Amino acid sequence: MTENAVIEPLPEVTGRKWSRACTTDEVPEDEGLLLTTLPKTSVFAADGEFYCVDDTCTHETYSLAEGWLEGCIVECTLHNAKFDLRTGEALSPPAERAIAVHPVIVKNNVVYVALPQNYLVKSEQA
Amino acid sequence: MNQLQHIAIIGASAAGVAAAGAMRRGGFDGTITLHDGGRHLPYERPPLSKSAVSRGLKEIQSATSYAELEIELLLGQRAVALTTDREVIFDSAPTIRPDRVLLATGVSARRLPVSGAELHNVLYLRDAGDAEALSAELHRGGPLVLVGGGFIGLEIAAVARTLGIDVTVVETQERPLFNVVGPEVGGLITALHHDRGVRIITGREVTAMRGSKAVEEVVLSDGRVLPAATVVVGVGVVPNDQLVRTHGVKLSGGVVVDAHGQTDDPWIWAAGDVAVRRHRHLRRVGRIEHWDTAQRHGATVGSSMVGDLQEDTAVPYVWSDQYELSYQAFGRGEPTDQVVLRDGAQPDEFLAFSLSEGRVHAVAGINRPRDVRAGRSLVESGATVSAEALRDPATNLRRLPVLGGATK
Repeated sequence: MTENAVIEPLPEVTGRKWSRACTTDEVPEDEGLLLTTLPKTSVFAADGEFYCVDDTCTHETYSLAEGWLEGCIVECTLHNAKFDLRTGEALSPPAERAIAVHPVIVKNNVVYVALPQNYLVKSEQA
Repeated sequence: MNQLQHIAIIGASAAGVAAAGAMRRGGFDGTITLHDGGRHLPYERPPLSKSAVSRGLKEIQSATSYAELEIELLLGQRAVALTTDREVIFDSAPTIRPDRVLLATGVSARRLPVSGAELHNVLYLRDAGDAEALSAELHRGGPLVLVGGGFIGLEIAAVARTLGIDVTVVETQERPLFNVVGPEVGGLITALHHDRGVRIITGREVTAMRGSKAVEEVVLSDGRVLPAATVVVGVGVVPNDQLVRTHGVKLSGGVVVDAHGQTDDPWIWAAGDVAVRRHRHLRRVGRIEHWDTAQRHGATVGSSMVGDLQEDTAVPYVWSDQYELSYQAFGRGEPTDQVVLRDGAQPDEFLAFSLSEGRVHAVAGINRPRDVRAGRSLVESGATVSAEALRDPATNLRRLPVLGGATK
């Protein structure tokens, strides 16, 4: 993750900051790519689009990047909760609460994500 | 469905709570009452056997969600009878006459019929009160004797070993979990516990427990005597079908229901552990005593009761925490299945498939969550696959070549 490494200007999103997340080919096909942020976030490629969500299942602490991706639905492989990557909505018990969804822009095969100001972004180049 | 004004759910269990929510989400605008003899907000039972540290109960839904969905949660109301006049009678609440009633009463721990089983510190584990009592005992120390090497017994064994307590498991079968997961997987999980210092005695029964007030000794069928400060009995469960035992509803090791959860009395429905049913992905009619399944069954029966007929076809899923590891399984094997272990199986990391005629009927594993999930898709598809490919650690299960057509 890199902050302030954006060359081309990205649209301002109130309360959020753009960061370079990864290149498009770094995102695996059937699962998510965990980003180095706090709270944890991950990037998914689904149906030709890229999505960024909070990585932790809202039922119990488990990484959705390690989940099971089918279309735009990610399923937690611990207890089978399902979330819609487009809206964050919890689609299946035991999860009750939605996960946060973050804006994504892809430019020149680079995935940029707009995370809330209070998220910590660790730079890999540090 | 205009004639439906009031649906009563007996049991604020995983199935009962899911059913209530599904009824409301399905557009039912009548009265939903959810009755339970307990006093706690509906909570998740799986964590009860998985931790000795009281972290408080984990609620199935937030406390406010019941009011939001207009579900009348009536705690401390134990149903004692269903009458042929379509009344539900409670021990300490007025009789009601709902238009439909759902039994989501679950199961209870089977009692051990031996002398001394009534002694203090001989415990069972099913509800929040049991968990609290067990936690208090474990913090007083051991030795702990677990009667029955099923999942609950082994989870407690893991928790107790983590606390440094001396643990012995007594199992009547030749291996723990023998009937549940078969000898191969049972052997791996047994080894896991051996490695962490659990003493496992197999092929022996407990014939008596002795002590002056609290239990002090457990006597085995071979005459051996085990010292014990606490005994936990986990020898299976019995269905809580008392409410309908004299009602005439068909029973067969539980309350027999159709694909939508209805019994042969159109007034009475059942969901969750107490229900006996046929399931698309299982080869035997029976109860399915898994928390995940109870939720999913509850939701489909709830929808069906308000006119949106649905069937629970989700492959039954169970997980069990053992030390820092998580055991996961989908489906159910039969003793006649061919069990294929992926090469390199170790007690703390393995993957096992139950096959019959080249089709995967069950998958189980430790520390392989994505592969276990891929196995679920194989169970769902019913496709014929190669045992060799399943055995090969290099195989991507998600891209497994299908040899034959799906039958399901």
